[in-house]
Amino acid sequence: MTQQTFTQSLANPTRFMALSAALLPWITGAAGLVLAVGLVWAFGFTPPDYQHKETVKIMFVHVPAAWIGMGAYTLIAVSSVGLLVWRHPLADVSAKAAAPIGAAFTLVCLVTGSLWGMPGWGTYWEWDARLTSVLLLFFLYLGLIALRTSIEDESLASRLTAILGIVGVVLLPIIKFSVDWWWTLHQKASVMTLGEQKVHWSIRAPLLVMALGFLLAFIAMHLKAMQNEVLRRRIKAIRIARVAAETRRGASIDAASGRQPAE
Amino acid sequence: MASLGQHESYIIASYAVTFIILCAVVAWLVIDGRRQRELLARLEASGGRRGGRTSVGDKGAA
Repeated sequence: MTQQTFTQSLANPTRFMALSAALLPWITGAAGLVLAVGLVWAFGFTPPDYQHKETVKIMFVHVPAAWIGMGAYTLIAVSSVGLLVWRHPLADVSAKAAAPIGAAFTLVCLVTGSLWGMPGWGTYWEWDARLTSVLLLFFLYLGLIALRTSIEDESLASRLTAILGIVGVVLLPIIKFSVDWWWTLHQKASVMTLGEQKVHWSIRAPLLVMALGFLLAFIAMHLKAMQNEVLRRRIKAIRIARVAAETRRGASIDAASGRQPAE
Repeated sequence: MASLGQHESYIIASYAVTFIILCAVVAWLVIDGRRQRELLARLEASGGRRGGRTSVGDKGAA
């Protein structure tokens, strides 16, 4: 029996399926509970902002969606490194599973940002650095999904999307610092700052609760999508094994009857 | 719940869009998962077994 390292043991899909099946109901329940608390807090106990008034409530879905949209892409990039460098068996499954979910959260960020923009800026859209770079992130997600589905050879598709995933990570600091590097309609960072607190705790606290709820929801979705992908690959493996067995059987019948195998 | 002010429609639309998009993802994941499990069960019932560990996601699978 060979000794497995800790990461190798985690990389075993069967172990992953058992572990994720045990964790998924708890994470899903926790996500629902935290989001419910966050929503009640946001709508029941949060005062209007001095500048944005009641529209500050849009921030409770817009900002967590933006964080998850960028976080999911970071996960894709890390998984891509895991595939290309360490050939971690679940790394590609993780990267593939995260792409559509990350795209969905980025879409939520774009749409809610647009809906917040109208009362705040008087326009749904402006081609400024922050908005445009987030739109590019959404297109990058679509590009990853399209690239993978357009290549039939799964191994080649995995490697090419992993390379694109790693190259695309350059967009994340551009999104983060776009509000500092260029003049934009979008406000500068106010929650994730190292210096003084720019958002009052009465708004900051429910925002962080909603962000935790979004994070738990993303983890639950990602685990489920990974489970689906492992099952899809098992089905593919069975079909390949079946075709190979039929080919071998056909070849042995041909050999027994002295016929040339069909081209 | 207190009044959401003059921009109520934007706030409600934001939460509605978020709910619809995330519910669509969850529904897709649940339906896809059910479909994959049914397909795998049908293949295994008909005597399907995986051959070599050829697939990345398949390595080490029982």
